[in-house]
Amino acid sequence: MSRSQVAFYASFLPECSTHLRAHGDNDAVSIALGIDLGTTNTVAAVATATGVDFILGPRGERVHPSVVALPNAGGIAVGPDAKLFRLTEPQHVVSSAKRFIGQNYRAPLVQLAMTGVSYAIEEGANQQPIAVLRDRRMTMPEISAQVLLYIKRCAERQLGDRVDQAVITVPANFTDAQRQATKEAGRLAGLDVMRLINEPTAAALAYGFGQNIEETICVFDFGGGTLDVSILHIAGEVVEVLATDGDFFLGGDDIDRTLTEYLAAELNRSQNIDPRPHPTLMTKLAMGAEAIKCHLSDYAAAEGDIDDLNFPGGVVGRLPFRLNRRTYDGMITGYIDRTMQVAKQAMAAAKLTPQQIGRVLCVGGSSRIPLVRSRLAEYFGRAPDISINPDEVVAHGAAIAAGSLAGTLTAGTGMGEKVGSAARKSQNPVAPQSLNSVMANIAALPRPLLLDVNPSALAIQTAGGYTEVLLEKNAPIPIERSRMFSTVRDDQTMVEIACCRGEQRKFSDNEPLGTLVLDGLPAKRRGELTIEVTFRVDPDGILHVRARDAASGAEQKASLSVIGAPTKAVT
Amino acid sequence: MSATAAVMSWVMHVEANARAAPHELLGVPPTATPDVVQSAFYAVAKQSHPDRFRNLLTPPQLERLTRAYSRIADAYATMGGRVRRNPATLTNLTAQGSSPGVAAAAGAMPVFRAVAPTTVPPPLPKADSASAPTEPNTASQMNSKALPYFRRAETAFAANDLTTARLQLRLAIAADPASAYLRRVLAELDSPPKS
Repeated sequence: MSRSQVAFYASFLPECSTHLRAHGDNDAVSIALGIDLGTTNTVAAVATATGVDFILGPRGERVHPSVVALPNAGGIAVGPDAKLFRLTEPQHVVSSAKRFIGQNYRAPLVQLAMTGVSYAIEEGANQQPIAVLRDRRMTMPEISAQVLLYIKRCAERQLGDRVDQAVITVPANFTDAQRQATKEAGRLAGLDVMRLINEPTAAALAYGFGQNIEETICVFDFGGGTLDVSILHIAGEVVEVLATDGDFFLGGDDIDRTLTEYLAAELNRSQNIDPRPHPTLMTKLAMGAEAIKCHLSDYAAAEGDIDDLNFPGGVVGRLPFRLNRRTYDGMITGYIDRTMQVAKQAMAAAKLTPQQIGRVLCVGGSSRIPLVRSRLAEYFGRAPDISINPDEVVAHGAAIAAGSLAGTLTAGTGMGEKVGSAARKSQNPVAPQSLNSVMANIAALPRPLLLDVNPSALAIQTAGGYTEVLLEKNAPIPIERSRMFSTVRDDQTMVEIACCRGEQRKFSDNEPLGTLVLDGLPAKRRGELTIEVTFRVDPDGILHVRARDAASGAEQKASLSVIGAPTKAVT
Repeated sequence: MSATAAVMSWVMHVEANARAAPHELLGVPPTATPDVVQSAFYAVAKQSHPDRFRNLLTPPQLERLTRAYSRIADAYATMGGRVRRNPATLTNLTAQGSSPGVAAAAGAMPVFRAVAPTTVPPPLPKADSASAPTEPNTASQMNSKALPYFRRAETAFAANDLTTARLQLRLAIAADPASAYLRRVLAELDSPPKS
């Protein structure tokens, strides 16, 4: 066999295996995980006949830190083990990778977020951020893949079977590049990512599935790194997202940082030591800050010492602290104001009043903060629902979605579901009109149906640097829409279609997505050439753009070269 | 007829009527209320959502089904969905008069112009001031992304909440690093008052 043949087979094989997976699975029992890949923690679950089982770590933990370490001792540590290295070698520990995945290294908010992490980040190919750990350069999808691989191994150990399918949740306002990068992370971990679903939608699914209710709810998802507010309508098995809004750079991490800055200032004031240039000391303070934050969620005051602080000069000391909730609320009120503003924006987009919301679901660890809950109660006129575990509800919903997509879902997996309710649900109220009764039988076990939306407007640039929105914010997905455009100059044989995310009138005020070039057009007078631009958003929320000369039918289907998206060639 | 055959015949039906009006695709009268539109869409989704057929169709069939379903989703969005989202203006194919001068400013690469619906007036160059109804002098010192943060900083400053004001200012600077004005304001805020 010649050299070129070997190369041919090598490149052919991976495609071959995915092809087999797509077709050969119907008789084999396929296990599909639901994974909530979070900024700080990851939770995974699988839907079984009796309910939802959470994937446990080696020591029985249900919540796995999304932390990857490359310690000096060699090897890769993931999860709780990796978190331990934050104390001894913080510069080799990657946390909050989700804040950087699929991001543009040069984006101002990314630059801001970089100041808050202990490891080095460089600019890599396609403007993506790359973590530099000792001699290794790892892309953000590679880091997330390590977390996913850890989860996959835990699941395989627990379930005693191969696990190669998953539904991964992402924040509702994740961009194209972030979604592609997350899928890439799944692929690198050896998982077939059946679907990316939005976190608030997953939470609503976990809450509403099997309850046979009709209700409009608000999911307030305030996690470690991001805030998502979604307004959803649940009608039986259909979960429709009406509107979603969020802030990608707002979460518990910010509150930790505020508290850390407070502790650092305290240390500077009381003992005249500035800890800011010392990463290890700052990490220790940050861990103390996180503990204080959690304590203040349950108690009106936090008082104590942060021990074992290694001060410069080899002195080991301590920092006493005393903080009551009122002071704490004052420190974080700016962030909480922002969360409420996002909630109001989402409500305005759904054109609903607070009275029309039947329930407010709190999701994400930061929703435990008392100030958040009191502000929510104030706005919606009802206390938020805290009966569910905010850390686990997203993974729970993802597991239901995974079971539904893999066709393995059985009755009894919903959160509020009563035993025996399966019989009640099986009568399908909607009589199919154009399709026959076989279809009705398929729908007899009401598999949940997620009708999700496009989180932000998608647009292209037109003459003069203006923005023309093709797909509005909160349009249902999957969706496909075409619009006609024409040329501005005589004999223009080429058009450049610059795509962006956002609806600011000036194109440059929006977030660029990439550019598509349609070439070789016939020379005509301006305005005589008609070009059809089609935006298609697939079920994962990823945009595909097509442009076509309407007269000749010549088509350009290039996928956008998305800025910040993972590239195959990793430096 | 099996379920897969039924859904594929539905796909062919949609493909054949791809250019039909949104209300025809959804099978509702053009004047249908949001509730009726929503139930029509739910009925389609329950029967034909591609997720329902993930394991039953071949990949090309699933692709066609997704396409057909996407058209219905477009029709639903165009009709305003449940909540009467801003309905997209239907594209008008008639060519508009040219907008002279703009193409030259865009450099070597030819630019692209939307065929504007006839009812919409041509874009006004000063449209940005709409987002900043008050104090156009401060608004002109930063881009539109930084402005909301700056406004929040002002509010916080008025309430004597310096921590929030600083935070919002820093966010504003992150949104518009080029604005010297923002940096000056932050510097003023950080320096102790001269007495």
